[in-house]
Amino acid sequence: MKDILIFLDEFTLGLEILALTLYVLFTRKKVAFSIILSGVCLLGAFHQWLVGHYLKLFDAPSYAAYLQHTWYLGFAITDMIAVVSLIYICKRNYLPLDKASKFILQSYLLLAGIQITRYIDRLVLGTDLLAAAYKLAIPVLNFGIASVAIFVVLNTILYLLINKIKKYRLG
Amino acid sequence: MKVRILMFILGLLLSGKSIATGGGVEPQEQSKNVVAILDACSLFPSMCEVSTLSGNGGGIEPPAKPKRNSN
Repeated sequence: MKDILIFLDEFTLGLEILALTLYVLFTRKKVAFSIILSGVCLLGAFHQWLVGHYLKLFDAPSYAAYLQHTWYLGFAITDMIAVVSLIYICKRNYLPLDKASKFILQSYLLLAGIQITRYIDRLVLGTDLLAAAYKLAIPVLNFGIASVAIFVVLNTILYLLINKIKKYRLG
Repeated sequence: MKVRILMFILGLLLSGKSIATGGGVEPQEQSKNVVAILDACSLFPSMCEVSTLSGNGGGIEPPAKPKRNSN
């Protein structure tokens, strides 16, 4: 099960970009979901760049302290900034948040919470109790977000296609 | 137009996967980031148990601080 999650997790950003492209192509509307999904794709791309930057320093002992502190807090802070910015953009454009958008935003807040909890567990308290939970929770949530995005997009496309077929038959 | 964009996205997906697994490309032909990932994987195999291509670090954690010698 864990291997499957890890395998699927590699595709999360690709799935999110695919979902966004399909959604924009088929709906051509500015709604909260498309704004949230755009933000998720940008954040995913930024996190990949961040991981690439951090990985270069993994083998350098002099950067160990910097890595440990900025790893958890870097992801947590960017998650929270993304959530606040996306809510602000939607409110400013009078776009109400749908269920899927709320789920995605809550998942990012949960991801930020996990990062901070693990930071406290490993670096503040030194207990190191949550290592296994952290390793599993992050890919599960990442894949959950991508799955919801794909599900909503496929559902929307199916709905639009059925409507078109109905109109074609009636007309 | 839609088909072209879909093909482009599929290409991106496939190329992303090939980068993630090395894709049969020699390290010297790849970008600096990919080389860094491959090097880090060979140094810390446990780190590569989890994806290096997802958000929030994909569950990977930085290594512990090296212990100081008391001598």
